[in-house]
Amino acid sequence: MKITQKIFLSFFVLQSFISIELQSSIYDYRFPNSTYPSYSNYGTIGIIQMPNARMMPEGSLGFSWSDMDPYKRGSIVAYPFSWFEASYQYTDIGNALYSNIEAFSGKQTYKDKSFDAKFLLFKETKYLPAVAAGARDLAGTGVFSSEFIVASKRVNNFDFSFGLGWGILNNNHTFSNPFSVLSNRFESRSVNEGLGGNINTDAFFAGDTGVFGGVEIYLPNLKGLRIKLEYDGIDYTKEGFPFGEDSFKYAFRSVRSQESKFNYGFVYPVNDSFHLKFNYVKGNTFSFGFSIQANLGKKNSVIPKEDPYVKTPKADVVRSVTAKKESLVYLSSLRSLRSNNLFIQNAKIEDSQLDIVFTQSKHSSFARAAGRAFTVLDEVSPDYIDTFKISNINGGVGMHTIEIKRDAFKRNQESKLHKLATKNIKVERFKYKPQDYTYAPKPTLPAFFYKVVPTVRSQIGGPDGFYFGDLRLSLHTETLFKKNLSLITSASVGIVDNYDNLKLASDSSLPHVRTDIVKYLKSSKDYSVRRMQLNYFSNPYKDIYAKLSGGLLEEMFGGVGGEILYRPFNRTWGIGAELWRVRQRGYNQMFDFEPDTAYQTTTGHINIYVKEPRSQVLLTLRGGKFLAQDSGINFDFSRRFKSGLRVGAFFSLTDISEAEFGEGSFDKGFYFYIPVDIFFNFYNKGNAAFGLRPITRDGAAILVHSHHLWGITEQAQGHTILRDLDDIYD
Amino acid sequence: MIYTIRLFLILLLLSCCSYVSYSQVVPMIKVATIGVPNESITLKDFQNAEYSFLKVRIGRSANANLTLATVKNNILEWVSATNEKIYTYNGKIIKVSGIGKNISFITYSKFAIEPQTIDSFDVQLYNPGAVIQQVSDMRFVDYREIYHLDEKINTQYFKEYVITKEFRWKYVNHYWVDDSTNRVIKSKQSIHPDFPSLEIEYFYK
Repeated sequence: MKITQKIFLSFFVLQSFISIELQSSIYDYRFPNSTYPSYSNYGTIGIIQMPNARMMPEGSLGFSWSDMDPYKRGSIVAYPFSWFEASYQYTDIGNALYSNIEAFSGKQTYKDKSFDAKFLLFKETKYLPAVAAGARDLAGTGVFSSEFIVASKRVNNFDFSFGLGWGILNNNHTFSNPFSVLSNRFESRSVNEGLGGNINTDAFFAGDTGVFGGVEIYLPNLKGLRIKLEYDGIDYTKEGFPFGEDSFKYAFRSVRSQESKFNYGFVYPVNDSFHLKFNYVKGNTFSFGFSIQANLGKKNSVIPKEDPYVKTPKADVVRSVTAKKESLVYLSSLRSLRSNNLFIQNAKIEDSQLDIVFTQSKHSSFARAAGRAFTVLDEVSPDYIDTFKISNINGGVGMHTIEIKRDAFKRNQESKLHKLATKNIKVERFKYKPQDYTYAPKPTLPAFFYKVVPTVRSQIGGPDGFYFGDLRLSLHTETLFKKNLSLITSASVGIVDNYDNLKLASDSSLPHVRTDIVKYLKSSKDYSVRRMQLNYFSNPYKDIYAKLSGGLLEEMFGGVGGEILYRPFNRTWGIGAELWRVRQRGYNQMFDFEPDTAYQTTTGHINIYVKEPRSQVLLTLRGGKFLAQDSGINFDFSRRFKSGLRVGAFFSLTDISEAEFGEGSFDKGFYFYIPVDIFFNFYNKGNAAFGLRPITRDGAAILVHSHHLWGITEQAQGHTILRDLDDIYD
Repeated sequence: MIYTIRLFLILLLLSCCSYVSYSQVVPMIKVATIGVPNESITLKDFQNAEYSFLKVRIGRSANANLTLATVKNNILEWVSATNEKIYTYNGKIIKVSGIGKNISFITYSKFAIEPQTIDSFDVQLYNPGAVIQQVSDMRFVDYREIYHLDEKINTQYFKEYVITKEFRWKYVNHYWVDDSTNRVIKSKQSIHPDFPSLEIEYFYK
C-alpha cells in the first residue's frame, strides 16, 4: 500500500471515529430526557405491561402510579445495586371488595400488597443484549405472581425486548417449560396457600412457558417522547379476579377480557425525573400513569450546594496577631470555626502542633467537616504551626483524631488534590480527656435547644380505609446537662386528622405490643409526648462505648435500660448488647402507663454489625428476646451511598408460629434514610426516614429507643472518615 | 418545572423531618415560587465600580456581576467572584465557562449586529459534548428607549433568529444597541439547550 493510501485510510478511520463520537453526542440533544428507562403499568421498569431488562443507576429511588381498569397501582422502586431492582406496591383491585362485611371494611375495594424483584444477569454489550430475570408479586396472595427472563437490546433509538414468562405471563402456551429437563418440579405450578407473606419458591419458573416482547422507540426532536409497542404475554384469565364472583367471593364484576395481544402507548418525559404515560391495552382499555425517579445516591444529586466555607475576615491580620500570643490562636480558631458551625470544646498548642477537639452536627461527611476545620486553622494559625490535629467528639465521647501536615493541606487546596493532601494523613481512635488540654470555652449548662416542625403520622392499607393520618405540630427539644448527659423530648399537638373511621381492633394472640396502634393513634390525636428519654454516654475503655437511658423511650413503651458496644477503630464490624426493662405506655401517650394491660417485659438483644467498606453494605443481626416475649433473630441489610442515602430491608425469624404471628406470616419490611440536604442548597446532617412494614403485627417487635450506639459512634471507625476523603476540600 | 418539583420536595421534607429550620427553608421556598428579585444597578453602584462590568441574570435566579478582566482581539472576558467566565464578541456571548452547561463558539469573527445579516457559526456544546452548526438571522426591529443607570437612553432593538441544524433547537436572542456609542448595552441570549437564557446589562467605563 502506498504511503498516500495509508494516510488517506488512517484519516478516513480517524474521521469515522470522530463522526461516531459527534453523532453520539448530538444524540443526547436529539433525544433529551432519555437518561432513564421508563416504567410499566406494573410499577417497575418495563414496556407497557411487560418487563424488560433495563435498570436504573444504583442509588435510584422511584415512585410509579398507574390506572388501568380495574387496577390502580402505586409502587416504590429502589435500586440498591445497579443489578438489582426491588419494588413494593399496593394494587387497588376495583372489581372486588375488601370484605363483604360493611361494618368491617365499609365499601373499600380490595387492596393487594406485593414485592417485585429483578436481577440483571448480563450487561448489554455492543452485540449482545442485556439479560435480566425477575419475579412479580413475590410473597403476596399470588393474584399477579409471575416470573420472567427477558433480554433487551438497543439499536439506535429502538430498544427491543424479548422474554419468556411463567405464572400469569404464559398467555401464549408456546412451548412446555424448558426448565423441566432439570427437574420435574418445573412441570406444574403450585398455588400459594396460607396467610400470605411467604415466598412460594416451589412455583418459581414452574408451569407452562409463554413468550412476550416489545419495543420502545425514542422519537427524535420531541423532547424525548417515546412510543411503545408490545406483544402481551399476560394471561388475563388468571390475573386478579377476572370473572367476578366466580373468581373471588367478594368480586362484584368481571374484568374486560383481552381482545388484542398487542398493546400501544407512549411516554412523555416532562424531564429526566418525571414521566407521564398513556397506553392502550388488551385492545379495549386505556391506561394512564406517571413516574418520578431520581438517583439520590450520588453526591449533590438533586440540588447543587451553595454553602461554601465561611472565610475568616482579614485572615492576614489575624495571623499576624495570633503570632504574638498563643491564647489568641485558640480564640481566633474558636470564633472562625463557630462561623462554620464547628464548635471547639478544647484546644492546646504543643511545639509546632495545634491540637483541637471539636463537635459538629452540620456535615454527614466527617471528612468535609475536618477539611473545613483545617481551612480555618490554616487561616488563623501563625506560621510556626506546621501540624494540625483535630479530634471529634459526639455525645461527650471521643470519636476520632485526624492529623495532617499544614503544608500538604495548603499546597493542594487550590487544585483540590485530596489524594495528595491526605497521602500521609493519620486517622486514629480518640479517647477524650478534657484535662489534657490548655484551653476550653466555658459552656452554659444546662443548654437547651428546640425546634418546632410539622409532622405527619400515617396508617396505610388497613381494612377500614386505605389511608389514615394526621398532621401535627411537634416540638423537639434537647436539654444538655453535661456533654454526655442529655434529655431529649418530642411532643406534639394534632392539627387535623381523619381517624374517626379507623376502628380495626387487634386480633393478635400475642401481647399487643404493636397491634394496639389504632388505640394509640386515636387516643393521642389531640396531644401527645412521643418521647422523653434521658441518655448518658460513656467510653469506659478504648473501643468500648456504653449508653444508659430511661424515660418514655418510644410511642408505646417506657422504661430503663442500656446498651454496650465494642467497635474497634480499625475494623469494619462491631458487636454489642442491649437490655431494657419496659412497660407499656397509656394509649394517650402522656406520662402514665396503660392500666388495662399493665404489660411489662424485659427485652434485649446481642447485636452484631458487619460492614463491607467498598460497597458500604451493612449487615445487622439482632438476636434475643423481643417485646412480645418471642425469641429469635432480626436480619437487617442496608447500603449507604455517597450522598448519605441508606436503603435497607429486614426480616425476623422468631419462635412463634405463622398462625401466632398472623397475616403476613413473619415480620419484614424496608426503609430509606434520605439525607435532607439532597433537596437543599446547604449541608445538613439530618435524614428523612421512610419505613414500611406490610402488616403491623406483634411478633418480632423491637424497642425503638433513640440514639443507638452504632449510629452515635459512626465516626469512631476509621473507614467512615476515609470513605469521604474526597470531600475534604468541599 | 424544576421549581415546582423543588417546592414539592421542600414541602414534603418539611412535613416529615425535623432537621431543617424555617430560617433556612423560607428563602428557598421564596426562590422556588417567585424567584429572586431583579435588582437594578444604580448610578452610585456604577461610580463605585473600578472597572467595566456586566450584570447577568440566569432565568429567575439572583443577579451576578462579572468584572471585565481582559480585552483581546475584540473579545471581552468577564469574570465573576467565583470564577465563572463569560466571553463576548460584539455583544454576543461566544464562550461560557464554569457554569456546568458551557459553550464555546468555534467560528464567530463574522458576527455583527447589523440588519439582515445571515450567517452560520460552529459551536461546541459541553455536558454533553457536541459540535453543532447554527444559522443566525439578525433583524432590526425598531428604536426603543430603555432605562440604564437611572436614565432613559435611546437604543436600536435587534432580534437574532437562531436555528440549529443538527437537532431541533430554535431560539431568538435580543440585543439593545446604545445609539450614542453603538455598543450593545443590554441583551437576552440563549446559550445551551439545557440552560435558561441569560439577561445581561453591560456597564462600560
